[in-house]
Amino acid sequence: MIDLLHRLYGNTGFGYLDWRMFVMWAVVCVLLYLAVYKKFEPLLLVPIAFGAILANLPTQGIINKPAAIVRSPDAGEIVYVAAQAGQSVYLNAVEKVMPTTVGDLDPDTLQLILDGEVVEGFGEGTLLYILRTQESVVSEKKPIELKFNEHSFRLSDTLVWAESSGRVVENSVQAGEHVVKGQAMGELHSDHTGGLFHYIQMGILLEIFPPLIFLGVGALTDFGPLIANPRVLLLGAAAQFGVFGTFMGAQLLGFSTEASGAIGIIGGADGPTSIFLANSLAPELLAPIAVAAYSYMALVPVIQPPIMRGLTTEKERKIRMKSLRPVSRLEKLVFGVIVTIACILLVPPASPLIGMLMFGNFLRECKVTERLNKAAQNELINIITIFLGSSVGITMTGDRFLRTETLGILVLGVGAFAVATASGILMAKFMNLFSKNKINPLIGSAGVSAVPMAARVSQVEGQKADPGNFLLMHAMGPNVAGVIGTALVAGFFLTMFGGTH
Amino acid sequence: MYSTLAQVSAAAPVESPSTANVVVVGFLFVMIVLALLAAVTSCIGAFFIKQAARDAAKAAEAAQKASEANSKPAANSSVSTTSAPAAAPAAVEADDSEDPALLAVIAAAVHTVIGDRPHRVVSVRSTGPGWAQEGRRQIFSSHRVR
Repeated sequence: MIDLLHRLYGNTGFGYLDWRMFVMWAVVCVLLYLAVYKKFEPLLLVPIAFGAILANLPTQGIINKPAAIVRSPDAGEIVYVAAQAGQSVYLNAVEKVMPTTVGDLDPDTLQLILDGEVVEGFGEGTLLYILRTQESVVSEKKPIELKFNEHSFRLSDTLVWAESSGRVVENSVQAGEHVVKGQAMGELHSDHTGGLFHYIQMGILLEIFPPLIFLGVGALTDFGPLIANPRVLLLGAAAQFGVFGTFMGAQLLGFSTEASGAIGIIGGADGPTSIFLANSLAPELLAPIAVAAYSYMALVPVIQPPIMRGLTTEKERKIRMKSLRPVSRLEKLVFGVIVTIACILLVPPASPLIGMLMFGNFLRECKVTERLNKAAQNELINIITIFLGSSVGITMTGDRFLRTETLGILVLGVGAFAVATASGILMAKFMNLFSKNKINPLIGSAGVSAVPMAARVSQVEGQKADPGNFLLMHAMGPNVAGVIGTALVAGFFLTMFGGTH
Repeated sequence: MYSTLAQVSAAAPVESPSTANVVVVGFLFVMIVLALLAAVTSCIGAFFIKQAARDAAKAAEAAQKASEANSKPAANSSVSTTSAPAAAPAAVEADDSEDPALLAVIAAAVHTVIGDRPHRVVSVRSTGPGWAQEGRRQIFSSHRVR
């Protein structure tokens, strides 16, 4: 009886709880409070928060990957082979970020793992290979050699862990052999084919969701205000300084160039673009970047107003802008085609984003594809938002999230938003020095994307100064320009630093 | 040492640009591209504005001609849909109602339905107790007749 109860307890998830989970539950509560009671972007925050709950529970059949071929993470020389055909591999029920190099392990743990012992937190038989990458050989001038069981390792040698439970059915490399990046080294097999979110997350990893979200955004957005007042494109461009400022900040904090680019794009306030770029340049930072981008987008009504009020005078906030001229259907269609061609020719890596944004807008403006337009505006974007939000949330495991690196990204994200907001406002003030038709500087803050939340904030702040002033449609111009600008910056970073396509 | 081209290319050092260069070039790139886009959009806008002005002038001319043509034969027809640039309440021949707000609403409704096509409201007449009838019709049609 006692034995049965003991076994029953062993099969519950209580044994897997740790302090990080409790902290993450608190984070989830804050996100849910903001979404449900404060109504800050609930359509995004609720799926993210609920995904985060699932990520911080000892779930089964939710996030586990299917057993598959084990591929080399980089080019190099195999220095140790732990995988043996027939060997069983068991991963922890709670996903853990594994150490990447030999230097990240303490000697006792490494010894136990090499001896095939079960080490708490590392699962069983999960270390498959140790690889000496060519990059580490170049970077280490005086390598420190470690001797373990007649094997010699260096601190920079890369650990290749199993990513799923199963059985090793094939080991195709030997110690001393050279491999190229992506080369098959062995194969794991399991009758369990992976969890639900493993497959849903493919929409992010394969970069399907962000362009589809852009299709919906294009179908929902009226480019008329931008076409009627094209000079506000400069406000969207100026707001991109937030991206580059954060890029510099991330570099100063010691992030790699690629990671800095991915972090910087948070300043664009564009969730899908942030995911798109992070997935290409710094996949390991996808979770914190996506969470920062979406959380701060939700917090635009909190972050922006103090900056807007601080950088403008009462008189400037009261500026009433000239009414926008009506824009014909043909003009909108011509604009869409020109933007598509020009942007894709300039930055081909941004074509999935720009192409789908403009495709969605063409469906809207051509007026002959109403069914497709409605599908893109409603069903498609809603379904993708559910999947995208929950997939982002499911990456928020405590182990991955509660790190100095993540906190650094969150701080940089706020800075990015603040700088982008300020840049847009200052650009509007600068343009007013030369312009006869004055621009209300409050619409400059809408140069950060966050459509249409940032434009709404401009409207609300404008009405606080002058209740009869309607800035919403004027602010939609820089808002849309911000979307195009952020996609261009993403394309620029991809061109400069190369993605993993 | 390297057995495949992939290994050789992976080993080739790639010189990454400096932070300052990336920031300056990147920001200027975005500013210039969006400024060019603004310039192109302005040019296209100017073309469409001119086109709209030409169309409006043509429509006004046609309306003028139609107005002249209408004024010759005695203006005995109560409602005419001959062309005019836009519905102008001032031009309305108010038969039954002198309320300018009502005329403006009717003119706006006509414009909404007809759109940019040339039109002119020349007469507004009450058709009797239509509102009450319409209300009753809506109430009846909202219930299923068993």
